Amino acid sequence: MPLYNDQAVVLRNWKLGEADKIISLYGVEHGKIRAVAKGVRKTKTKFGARLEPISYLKIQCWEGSSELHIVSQVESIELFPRIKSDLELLRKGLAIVEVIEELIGDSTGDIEIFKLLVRALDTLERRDSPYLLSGFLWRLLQVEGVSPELSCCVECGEPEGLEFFSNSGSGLVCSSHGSAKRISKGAIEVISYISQGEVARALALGDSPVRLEVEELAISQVENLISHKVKALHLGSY
Amino acid sequence: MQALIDEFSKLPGIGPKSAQRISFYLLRSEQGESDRLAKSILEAKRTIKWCQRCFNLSEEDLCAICIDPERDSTTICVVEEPKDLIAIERTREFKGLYHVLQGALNPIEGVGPEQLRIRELMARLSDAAIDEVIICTNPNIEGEATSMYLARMISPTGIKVSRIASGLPVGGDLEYADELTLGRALEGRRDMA
Repeated sequence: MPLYNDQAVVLRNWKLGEADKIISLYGVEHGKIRAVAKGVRKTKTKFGARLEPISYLKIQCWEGSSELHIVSQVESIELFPRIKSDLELLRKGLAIVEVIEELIGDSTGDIEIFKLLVRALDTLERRDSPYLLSGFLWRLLQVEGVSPELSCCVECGEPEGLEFFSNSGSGLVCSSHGSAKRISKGAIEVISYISQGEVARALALGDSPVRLEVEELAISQVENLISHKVKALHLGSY
Repeated sequence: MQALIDEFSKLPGIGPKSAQRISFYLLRSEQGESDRLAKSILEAKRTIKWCQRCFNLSEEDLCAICIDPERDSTTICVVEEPKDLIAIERTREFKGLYHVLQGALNPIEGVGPEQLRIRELMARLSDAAIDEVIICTNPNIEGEATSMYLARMISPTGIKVSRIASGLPVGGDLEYADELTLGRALEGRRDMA
């Protein structure tokens, strides 16, 4: 049973037996990790609150014979206390880790995805922006190789009259193929520069109807890929 | 025999091997022992129900705590499960009433406010003279989300809402505490003067 070290973000956890939990993490080197944390639900656990979702950690795990590893040691890098004490920030934070959990396959770590994840949580902790969630989602889609086609119609290749967005085609469509959702020029512009890596430019923008449009399109793109709703987004909206 | 093993393996925390072990134990045990077990299960299922006011386990329509005139009826302690209520009762520190939510908000698992006893809690708060609601949900993400949601719901009523303190377990070493717990312990420190 080899022992390994990694840096990881906790995505989710499930109760296991009397006092244990299965922890899902995204590691910079190991990618998606599923590991058992023994005794983590007891008040005197050595892991404390570190293995709760939205925690950035240094971990040491035993690689077991099954797919489930065993958490041996944990040291926190950032526990994001502000996110965890505000319902709206928590909603966004949980949505970010849920999308990583659902969208990213079981492969080795991807430094780009890891950096994007940590940077998104760090920004959310320090200064939330109206465009944080949509900026993260569009950038993640771009890193995953599914960035939208914004230069021409995905149906006919026509570069003019692009007024609609097709979820199934993942890009703009012209008015003659426009049975999809209408999109404003402002939203096209914001999605365009986020997809080109200029997330900071979007984060500096204030709240507006364009923000809602850009966010709704990003969410529906992600939901189209994972084939179900991003459930964490319902938190607090009851 | 297989039917018995199958029934035991449906229980939480019981795998097929444990189910087999329990089944063989019962078959080898005296007749009286398995009779008592079967009778206890049937009796519990027949007599125990949810308290109509606080949703604790009860043999009557209202549980022993709800009908106790000695309890402080102006304070309600909100917990996730009846076992949390039992843990708080063991401290003998709390003399008020309870409200059992029967879970915590967990959107990933599809648990929203409508799956919990939140509507009933709000009805209790509007009907009775309550001064304080103490939220004692678990100090994990689901429990914290539930506490923040409840605080947002209750605050407009003008009733004082408090959250159980987070801190270091008695007998534990400070050096092993995580930053979040230690930070909250410092934040919730008390005056000793």
